Amino acid sequence: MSETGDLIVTDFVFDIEDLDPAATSLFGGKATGLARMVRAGIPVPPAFAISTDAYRAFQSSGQKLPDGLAGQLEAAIARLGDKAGRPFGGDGREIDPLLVSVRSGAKISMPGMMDTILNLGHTATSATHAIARGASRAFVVDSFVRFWKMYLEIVHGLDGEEFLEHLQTARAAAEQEGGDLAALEAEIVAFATEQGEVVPVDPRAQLDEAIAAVFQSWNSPRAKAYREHQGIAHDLGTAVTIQCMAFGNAEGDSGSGVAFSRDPNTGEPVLYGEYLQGRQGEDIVAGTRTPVDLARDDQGHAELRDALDHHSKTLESLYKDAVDIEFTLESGRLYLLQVRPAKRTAAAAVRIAADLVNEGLIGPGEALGRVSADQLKRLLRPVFVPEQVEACKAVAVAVGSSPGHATGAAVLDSDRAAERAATGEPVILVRPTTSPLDIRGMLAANGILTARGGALSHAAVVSRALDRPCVVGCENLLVDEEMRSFVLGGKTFSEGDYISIDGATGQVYDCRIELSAPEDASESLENLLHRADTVAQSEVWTSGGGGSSVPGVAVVSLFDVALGERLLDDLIEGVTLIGQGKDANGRKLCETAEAIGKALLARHPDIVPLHVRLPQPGSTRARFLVPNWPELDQRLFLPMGNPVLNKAFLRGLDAACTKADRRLTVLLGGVTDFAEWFAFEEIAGPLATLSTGIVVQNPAGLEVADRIATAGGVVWTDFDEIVNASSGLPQRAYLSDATLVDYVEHGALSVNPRRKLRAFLEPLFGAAIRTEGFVGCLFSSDFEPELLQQLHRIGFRRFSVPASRRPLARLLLGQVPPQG
Amino acid sequence: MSDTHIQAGAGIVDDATFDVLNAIYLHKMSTAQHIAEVVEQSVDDVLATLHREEADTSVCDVGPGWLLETAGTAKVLAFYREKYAGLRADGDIIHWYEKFESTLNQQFIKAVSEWQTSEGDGKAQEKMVRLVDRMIRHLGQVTDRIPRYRFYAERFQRAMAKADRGESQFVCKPTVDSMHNIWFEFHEDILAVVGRPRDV
Repeated sequence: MSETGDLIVTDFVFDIEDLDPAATSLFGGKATGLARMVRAGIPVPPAFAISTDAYRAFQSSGQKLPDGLAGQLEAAIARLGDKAGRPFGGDGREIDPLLVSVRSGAKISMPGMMDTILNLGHTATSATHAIARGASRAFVVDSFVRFWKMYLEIVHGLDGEEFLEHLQTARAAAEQEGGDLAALEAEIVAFATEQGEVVPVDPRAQLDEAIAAVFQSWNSPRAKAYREHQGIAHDLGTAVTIQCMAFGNAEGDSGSGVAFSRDPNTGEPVLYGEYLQGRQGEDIVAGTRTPVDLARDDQGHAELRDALDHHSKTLESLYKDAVDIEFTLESGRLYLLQVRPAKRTAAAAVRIAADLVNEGLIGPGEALGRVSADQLKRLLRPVFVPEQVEACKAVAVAVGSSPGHATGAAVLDSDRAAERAATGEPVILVRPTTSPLDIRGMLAANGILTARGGALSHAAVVSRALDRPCVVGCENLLVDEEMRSFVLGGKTFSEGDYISIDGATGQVYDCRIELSAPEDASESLENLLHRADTVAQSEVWTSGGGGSSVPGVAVVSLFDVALGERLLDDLIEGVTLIGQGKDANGRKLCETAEAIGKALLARHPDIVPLHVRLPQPGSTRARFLVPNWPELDQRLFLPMGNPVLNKAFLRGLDAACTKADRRLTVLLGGVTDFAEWFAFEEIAGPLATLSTGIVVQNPAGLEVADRIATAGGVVWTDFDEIVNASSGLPQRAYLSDATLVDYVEHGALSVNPRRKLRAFLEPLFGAAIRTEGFVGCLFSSDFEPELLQQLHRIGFRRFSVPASRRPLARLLLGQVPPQG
Repeated sequence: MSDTHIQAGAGIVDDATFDVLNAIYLHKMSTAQHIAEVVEQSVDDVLATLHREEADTSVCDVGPGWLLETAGTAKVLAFYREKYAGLRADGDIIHWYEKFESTLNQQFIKAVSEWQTSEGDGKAQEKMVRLVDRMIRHLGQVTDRIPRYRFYAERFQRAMAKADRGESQFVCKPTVDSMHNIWFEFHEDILAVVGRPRDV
């Protein structure tokens, strides 16, 4: 407050260098951001802010600019004019006028608030003077019309495109040599008047209207709806920031550009960007000048590069992140116009996050938040097996419009594509073009190829939204829907023939190319994920594979190994003989177990803990596979029902381990009691190479898990099995996720139990880990991100997931906010 | 075929039936829930129409949703052809459509593409939302002639509010009622109204 005689006048207007950078409620995020930069020595164009007090006064005085504001505004504008060396409104003199930008700025940014108005301060008179002094007429007219379009759209709510259409003739006349800008201005005013809007041509009046428009936008329906949803107070209000426009087209050493503090493609910590010298607007339009590459030191402008490098380092320490900077050089004076956390590729995001931690700018927890699950997925997207690409022929190159590699049977119709994909076959949808009617096929397909359209076609846009590789505009593709065939690069294909597409390069191959995980997940990624493990205090195992950083392999099903090694018949025979009482010592099974063990150890040559699960003769799968299953000894269907079975197995595995000088942890499934594991442990005790544990497959097992772990047994809680058992659902192999999701979407179930932990299970999982012993959670196919994080919050620190999902699991665990 | 749902003289289905069939036509496969939401009818009414049309082999329930049979598609196309013949002859709607096609539509598709390639940049999203805002006003110019177009305006409003709250799948994910999805369905719809084939 300041006193003027008896009158107490609120201070509404503050120059940027005078305001408190911490007062975001009063000045909003934009102005305080500028203030912070000014204090750090960053050259920003002169500016001032109108505080939210003015907004509140505006509201309480019936949507009128408050008394006292006008005088403060005049003074502040005069100060800006002095700093910039240009008078606002041109002052009738033949020099360039002060142009300003007007922005809204609340403490919290929200949708529906007023957009920025640029170049306020233009008049027909000042524009005419500029042309007289030698500025390009086309450029001046363009800036003038652009200002009006923005102003009419934003302040008066008129349709900018309609405005441009309406103005065509008048604009063309003004662009002619000797054309009259006053006439153009009159036509603009006429257009607005016709639409019922009264618009001033005086910049001072325009400024008042723009400020009022900022205040009014606080109460736009979009902003109101947003605040109500987010619980933001309606009286918080918005500030206004008014800033000088800088001129990259001024006399002398002038220009403009964009700089990044680090390479946004790779994340490498070097200055990156472009600088376009001279009268930028005209040159960009005409494309007559090549920009300077700021990453290279052989193109001159060393001083500019040094300054940008210096400022970008300061800004990084302010923002604690890599930044991109819009800058202008006005007659040798550098201004930073806009600074934001830099846009970056997925690879750069990982590199930057890792580097920022190493440089001590941010902590590991924060760094992990800087990489999104989507970015990680993109980085780890499966790619063509390189050797197979070489063996294939690229039959066409078209427009790659959604990146990624895909291979599959070419199908020419969306319904058939959906049907074929439902059988599990990979499909590439091949169409002349796509429309919304093709959505089913596009959803089902692994990739999309079209003959027509460009990067903005339906196929391209929808593929990107679905994250499906897509190639469009393939001109030498000719589809014959009736004959169910197509010609591609001169070669005729029938529906069902395999093709492969590269959605980045646009290449189309005439054969099947297998996909695999990208070979080198970068060093930065491993570095970051290693920090994630530390932050989360967790370790993520896999069910096999995943590289050298995997702490262990769990849980490998010996049944699957037998299946893969063609030992299944031997296994069934061994079990059946015991079940029929024909092999009292289990000799046949013991031999088979040794063979399975040998194959298993060969499959997992890395010397890390290896946890395997014994086959369960009582399982659904066994029921289908074992002939005369109902006639087997029923004791086999209980974990320790027939001791011969487990003894034979353990002896066989021990023999295999002894020969290979390896160790194994053998897990017993279906356990629900401490006594079961204890009996199992007693058999294994004398066998030097084996340790024991259990796989919990139902809620009853959760109840005894902690006791077994405390006694030294390894416990893996099989999440899917527990959920299936507790909800009475068949296993995934017999009830797919897709079917269950459909069921939930039809409203028959309110939550999908495979995706969200039911309330009654949470304390049971919690009880299972109340031990210092080894308890892990196993996801044998896939996991819901939120579920994984929930289990971490409950207390799980050890997980096992498929190798392809391991990086994501590690990132997600590292992103769980610390508790307490 | 049940006579009560055929408009007298025209030989086409009534408006409410058309709304239901057209929702499937544009969406390809739809749940009753989705149809009810977009055509502002109760789920019970929608189901009643669907079951009636099922008996007439115009639609079939394939589990995750309803599909149009050949007869159903024919009903939809006949409605477009007959119902809007007068409007087409009058020419106003053609003019309105051409303006939509050459301005708003092009700008919108470009904005969507920018949003996607910028990985969901806030500025790009704002651009899209503003275009949708304009589109809602634009739709207001023809709802006196095609009253059901107010459904699109309502859907746009809902998607816009969700996108504003940060539910970014409501920007352009095809499997939810996103701004982009509504836009594409509308585009298909207006093409059928004016009787033009679709470009890419």
